[in-house]
Amino acid sequence: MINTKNISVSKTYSKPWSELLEAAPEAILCISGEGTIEPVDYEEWGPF
Amino acid sequence: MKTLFRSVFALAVAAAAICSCNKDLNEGTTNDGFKVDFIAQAPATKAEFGALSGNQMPVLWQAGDKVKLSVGATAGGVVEVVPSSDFKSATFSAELTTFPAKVYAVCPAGAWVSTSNNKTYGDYVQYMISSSQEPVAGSVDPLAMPVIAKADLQDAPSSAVPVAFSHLAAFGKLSLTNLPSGAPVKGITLDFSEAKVGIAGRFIYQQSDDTFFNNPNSMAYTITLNTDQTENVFFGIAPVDISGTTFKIIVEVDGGNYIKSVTAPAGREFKAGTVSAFSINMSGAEFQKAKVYKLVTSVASLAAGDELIISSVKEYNTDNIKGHALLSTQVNTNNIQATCCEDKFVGGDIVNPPVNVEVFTLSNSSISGTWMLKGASTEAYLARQNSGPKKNYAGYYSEADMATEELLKSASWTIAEEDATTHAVTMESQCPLKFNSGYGGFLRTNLNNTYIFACYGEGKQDPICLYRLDKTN
Repeated sequence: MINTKNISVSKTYSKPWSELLEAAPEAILCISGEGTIEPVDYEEWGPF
Repeated sequence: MKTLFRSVFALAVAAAAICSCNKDLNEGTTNDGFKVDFIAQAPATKAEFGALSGNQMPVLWQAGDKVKLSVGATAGGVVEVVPSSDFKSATFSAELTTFPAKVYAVCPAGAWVSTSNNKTYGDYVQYMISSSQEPVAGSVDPLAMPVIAKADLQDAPSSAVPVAFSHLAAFGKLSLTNLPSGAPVKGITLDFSEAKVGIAGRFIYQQSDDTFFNNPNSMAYTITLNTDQTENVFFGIAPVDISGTTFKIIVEVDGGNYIKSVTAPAGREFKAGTVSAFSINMSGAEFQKAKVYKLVTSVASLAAGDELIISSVKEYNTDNIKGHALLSTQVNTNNIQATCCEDKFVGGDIVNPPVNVEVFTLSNSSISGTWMLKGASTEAYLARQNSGPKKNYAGYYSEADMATEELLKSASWTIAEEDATTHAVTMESQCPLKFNSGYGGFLRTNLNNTYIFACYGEGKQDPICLYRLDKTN
């Protein structure tokens, strides 16, 4: 569960979640990432 | 294609917490906190390795993939990713409370074990390559394909942070030829236990230099592939050079196992992020009849020389695996790994357990009324380890250790009936250390958030029961 009390979102900014969402619903609260996974190489070893 | 609605509850966990800032989100508050709903599209089929192109295969996200976040030495929450329409990328979100932040994301979240700091490794993330895998057509068990990404954030970013996930595991693609029987295959095991080559288990990702390696205190020497296929079976494995190493391939069929020893030719090294395709010629394999273990329903019937398996009473239940947990041959630093063996339970018996299930030989301790259990793979005695009164350690002491009285006590167990209905037993070590609340000398299993056997206080965690080799079979 989210702590609905004060959660600091940066070094200097701390407010209740509800106030933060009203003030800046995206820019302040979140970071978002776009992730890709490196492809795998393929090699043939043959029979053991 | 179908549309799924998923919910994420953010978690405030130390330095890292989770929320969603997907632009499609619907926002709202509940009495407990802020709830975020978002919409993700799921593929009709699972997508993992893509089609081979040249000498590379793309790796695709799946809807429902979860990422475990860490910041430095602090574990954060789990967040579900949203794959792109071609599954080549995915988005996920995190809320951070302090900057700078060195964020690590491990996927799948189920492969993550711990995030911490110690004198040996500094800040590290520990993850696992399971020794029991469920291969899927054209790809590995998703839990056997751990990947990691790092984002070194000096301050709160104003836009999306691109992160690249790199592979922590190597992969094999195995085919069997010349199997002696046409009987359906029930499983394939790669057994490196004689050479003591760690091919699975727990691994350390050392943050200071972004290197990763087998945790020397938590290795597994076997990988069992729960599959009925004999061609193009994919598996995840530790990056390890097996050149010149002799190992066994064990193929389970109805009634027993075909076992073949092979030696890898020179130049055979499993490399992280590389699929190595090979085949094993099973011609001349030895057949070993299946062993049957029956539930011990009376502790009074226990006798020296009994060969025992320790099982959970409760069923193991993860996202994709369900069944009873058995105490395995993988010894971790503080505990012993559980392995899931649902399909080995036949008519109430354990039939033909895989080689990563530990078998103990029971003997009388010199301490009156207590038993000792010697593990077949460790050749040492199961014990509540004498590491401190607050620890729930379980592990092994050697034959030589038994000359020390307190270690002998630690490896000496009373075994008593705990529940007449389930035939759960209470196993209490005679370890001389004082027990504290929540801890103690009782061998139990923890199937709540970790899948291990360890020592806990009386009645804590989950009960165990014993299965005995049926020597009349």
